[in-house]
Amino acid sequence: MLVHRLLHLCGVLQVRHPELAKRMLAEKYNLAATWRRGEDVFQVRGHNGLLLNSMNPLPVLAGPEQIQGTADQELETFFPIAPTIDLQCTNVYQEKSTTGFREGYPCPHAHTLYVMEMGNTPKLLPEQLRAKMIMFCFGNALVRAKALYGDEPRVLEKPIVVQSVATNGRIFQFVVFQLNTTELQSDSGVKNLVWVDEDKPLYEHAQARAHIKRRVVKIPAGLSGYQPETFKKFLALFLHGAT
Amino acid sequence: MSVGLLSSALRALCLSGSRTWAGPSAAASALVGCRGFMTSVCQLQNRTLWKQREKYTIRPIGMKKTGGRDHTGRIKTHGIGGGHKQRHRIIDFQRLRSEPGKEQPVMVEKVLEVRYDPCRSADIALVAGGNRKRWIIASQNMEAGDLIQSCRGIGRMAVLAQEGDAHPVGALPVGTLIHNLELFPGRGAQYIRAAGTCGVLLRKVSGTAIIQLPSKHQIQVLETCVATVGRVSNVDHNKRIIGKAGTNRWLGIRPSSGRWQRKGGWAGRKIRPLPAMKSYINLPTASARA
Repeated sequence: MLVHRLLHLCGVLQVRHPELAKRMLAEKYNLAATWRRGEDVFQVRGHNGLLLNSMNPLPVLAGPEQIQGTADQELETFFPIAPTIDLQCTNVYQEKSTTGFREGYPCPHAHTLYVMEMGNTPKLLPEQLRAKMIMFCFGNALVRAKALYGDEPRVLEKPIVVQSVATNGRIFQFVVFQLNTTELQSDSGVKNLVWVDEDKPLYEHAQARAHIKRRVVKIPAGLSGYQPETFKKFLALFLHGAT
Repeated sequence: MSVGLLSSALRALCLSGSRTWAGPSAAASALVGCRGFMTSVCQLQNRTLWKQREKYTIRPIGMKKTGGRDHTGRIKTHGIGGGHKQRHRIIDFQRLRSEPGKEQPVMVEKVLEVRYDPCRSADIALVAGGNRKRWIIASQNMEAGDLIQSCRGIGRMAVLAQEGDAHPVGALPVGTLIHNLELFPGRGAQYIRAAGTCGVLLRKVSGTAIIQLPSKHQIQVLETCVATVGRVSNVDHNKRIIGKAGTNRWLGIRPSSGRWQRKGGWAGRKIRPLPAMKSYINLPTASARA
C-alpha cells in the first residue's frame, strides 16, 4: 500500500518531466530466467512484486574502464560451503526464458522492481530480502539480454541496468544491478556489478497512540523521526533515466 | 452372532494388512497392539509416527512424550513424565556420510552455530559443507566459524589430530582423547556421546585398536572405525546443581517412591577387577575356520 502511494506521489511529478509518461506499471508478472554455471542449472521463476517498465533502457552507470577493471578482481568463495546451499533443488523439464511480456509490448525494458514484505510477521529477514532482490534483478537483466542479443554467452557492449527497491513498510533497501556479461560459466573475466544500499528507515515510529511511560511521552503520536533522504533516494531511482 | 463377530474381525485384520503395505516399519509399530486373535479392530497408533521420518532434515521435529509407558499403556520405567516440551533435532552420527552422489575421501565443513539440545546432555553444532547442512555432537572448544575435517584413509604416519576432526581410529596417535566412537565401521557413533566424556586410545594392534571408555572398560575395535577427536562439549554438566525439586520436574523426572525400602545386594560401592576386554572384531571362530 505504501509503495503504491509513493509511486503515485512520484507519478504526480509527471508535469515536470514529460518522459515519465513513457513508463508502465505491472503487477504479478511472471519471470523465468535460466542460466548454467559449472554443472548446475539455475532458474529464477515466479511472480515477485511490482515492476516498472519503460520504453528507454536505463543509462549505464559504470564506464567501460571500470568494467574492464573488474575483470582482474577475484570472486571470493564461501569455502567449504557451496554457494548453492539452501537453494531449492527441483527437476527442470523446460529451460524457460521469458520476461513475462509478449513481444511488441511498448515498454520492454525493466526499470525498477518493487518488492514488498508487508505484514506483522515478515517471512524474510533483511539479508534474505536483499538476496531475493539481487536474484530477481539478475533474472530480469539476463532475460532482457537474451532477448536482445541471443542465447550465446558474451560480454555486452551496452550493459543492462535494473534497479530494485524492497521494503517492509518502514525500512527500505535499494539495489542497482548492472549486467555486463552473460558469460557465467567461469569465474574469470568481466564481472557484473551490484550497488546495494541497505537498511534505510523512512521513519522511526508511526503510531496512532502516543507511548507514554510514567507521564513522560516516549514516542509521540503520529509520524516521528522522518528521514527525507530515504524518500529522496526513492525519487532518484524513480527518475533515473527520465531526466 | 459370534460367527458374525469372528468374520468381521477377520475382515478387519485383512483390510488393515493391505492398508499398511506402504510403510512396513509403521505397520510393524502400529499393529504391535494386536496380540493373537482379538475380536476388536487393530487401531493404527501414531505414538511412534514422529520417529518414522526417513528424509534427513535440520528442522526440529515435534516429539511425543511416552511418560515411561510402553505400548500396552502400563508404566515400564518409573519416574518419567511431564517436563518441558522438547523438539527433536535429527543428529547425524556418521561423520563420513557424504552427500548423495559425491563421495570424497576428505570432507571439510564449517561450523555455523553451537546450541543447546533438550534431548541430550551434550551441545549440538550445525555444520555445513558442500550443499547440505547437518547437526552433529559438538566437541569441547567448538565455536561458530570453525572448519572441521573428516578423513577416510589411514596413512602410515599418525595424523596430528585437531579437536573436532574425525578420523579412523587407526590414523590417530596413541593416547588421543576421542569421542563419538563407532563399534563397527559405517554403523555410526554409538559410544562416548554424553557431555564431557572422552575415551583414550590405548594401543594399536595389527589392524585393531584398543580404547578405554569413560567407565574404564576397554574395548577392541577395528581400526577403520571412525571417531572424533577431543572431549564432548558441555564439560561442566556433572557439576551443575539442580537446586530444587521443580528443576527435576522440568527435566521430566518424576519423584521416586518415598517409602523406605531395605537396600539389597545391589547397593553400595563394589570393588572388583575390570571385566575382560570386549572385542568387536568379528574374527572367524575356530569352528568356522576348520
